Amino acid sequence: MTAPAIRLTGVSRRFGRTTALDDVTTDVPSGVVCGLLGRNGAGKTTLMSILAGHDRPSTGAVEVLGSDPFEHARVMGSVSLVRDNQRYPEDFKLRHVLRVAPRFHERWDADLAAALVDDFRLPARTTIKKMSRGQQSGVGIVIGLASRAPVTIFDEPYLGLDATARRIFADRLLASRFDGAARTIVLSTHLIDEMEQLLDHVLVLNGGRLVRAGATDEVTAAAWSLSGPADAALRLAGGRAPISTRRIGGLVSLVFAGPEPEGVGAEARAAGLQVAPVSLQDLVAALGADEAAPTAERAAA
Amino acid sequence: MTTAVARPASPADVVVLQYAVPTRMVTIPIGILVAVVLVMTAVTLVVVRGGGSGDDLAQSGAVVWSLFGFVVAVGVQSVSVTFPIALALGTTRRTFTLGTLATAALESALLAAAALLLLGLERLTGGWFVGARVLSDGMLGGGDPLLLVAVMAGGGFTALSVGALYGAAWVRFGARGPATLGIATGVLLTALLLVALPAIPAVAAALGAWALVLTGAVVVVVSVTGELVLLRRASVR
Repeated sequence: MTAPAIRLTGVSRRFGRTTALDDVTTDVPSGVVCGLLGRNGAGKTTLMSILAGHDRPSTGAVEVLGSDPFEHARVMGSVSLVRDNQRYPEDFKLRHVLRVAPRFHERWDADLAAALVDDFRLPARTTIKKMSRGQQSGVGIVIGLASRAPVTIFDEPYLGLDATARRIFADRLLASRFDGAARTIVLSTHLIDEMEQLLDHVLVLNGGRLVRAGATDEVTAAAWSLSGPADAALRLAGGRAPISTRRIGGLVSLVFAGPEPEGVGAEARAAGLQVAPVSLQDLVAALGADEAAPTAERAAA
Repeated sequence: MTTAVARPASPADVVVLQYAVPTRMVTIPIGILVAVVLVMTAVTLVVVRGGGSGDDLAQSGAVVWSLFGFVVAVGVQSVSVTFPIALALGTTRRTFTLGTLATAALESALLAAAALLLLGLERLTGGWFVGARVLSDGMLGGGDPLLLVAVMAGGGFTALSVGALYGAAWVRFGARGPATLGIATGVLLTALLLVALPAIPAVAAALGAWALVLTGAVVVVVSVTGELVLLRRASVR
């Protein structure tokens, strides 16, 4: 069995009275594209910082490629994390990035970098600081993909990208997975519907807690929805507690954890209700709406 | 399927990163040196026309006062501006600190070499044709090339290291960091002076120029250690 690329054991991170991550334990297999999902403030960026060795957990253990990444030169050299709000030196232009980055990533693919620069139409003369939001995202994608780092982390890579650029990123991301060595890619995004096809594995955070983890199809299979007229739906739900309830006028949509119970589909149809699998986006939205899982700020209050 | 572990970044890689945009590290410091020469030559010309001589300005310290403030700022930026991207590219804090220290050594050597070249020109031209003493200023060794190199390299290295410490304080604590560090340094130096003042003349007389060298070395060691300690606790958010 292949060792996981990432192993987290009881990882918590507190900033003063705020708990950003709360007792996260999970593995991410090697060679997958892993989506890091959850609402704003769920702890995604904190987790990515810890994976890249940019930060340390307050408690718990982190292993990336078999070792604690913090101040581990070989592991940190094997990880690429460009933040959504990455800071660059004042006068840095694209050419400075393209000149410097290969020194830090020994498997740097200059041809791929050049192709991506063309694809994203990144300007050569503008300082990165003055680029548009989408262009700055493009620079981050160039660094991440061309680095060919064994563990590549993208923090909201889609921010500001137009539809064409998003498609280019998705295509290049898929192609980059098959470049000779196992490459584990972790990316956070809110555009879940658009990314779902790319994700082999997902981690869903809510209020700093890991609320779902596993292969994407297994995670989505472990939830189902019931929708239709509110009275009939609530009657059929009976004692089952939904993880989210959404009302629109007299209609309700309930999302339940676990596999769809046998026979519930027929009962629902007879009552004029609809039972359906839950998309990843709907599941993440439902989990984020769970009032029982407080946000980091509320937890600290 | 195996996952390769990559070669780690080295201090030399950090030096390349620091010099990626040469304006801040090369063009501006040397430009300041040349500008000081031009301004001091003009001032000397006025003094000479007024009946004085270039020797009247031999203790002006123009280069020291004009350049070293900027050099401290370069030191601050070498950490505050470069650390986030160095971390993003997979550098450890230890490697970054060593690379920044190597950058300070290279930069101070560059300043010393530029100053030495200008001193040579100053001598060849008889003080820029008007008897000006800019690089042969008393604070730069009074025209002694060895002392000039020692002051420029040693002073530059110390100033860059102190700047890097302040940059690390900013990365770690934001605006509060350098302010607190500045106040703490002021209080500490005042206390040190109050306690050691009676002994300073005797120590300085015994050690001579080595007193400056030793002071610079202590400042560099404290600064680099402080930088590493601050960066170890710093996370980029």
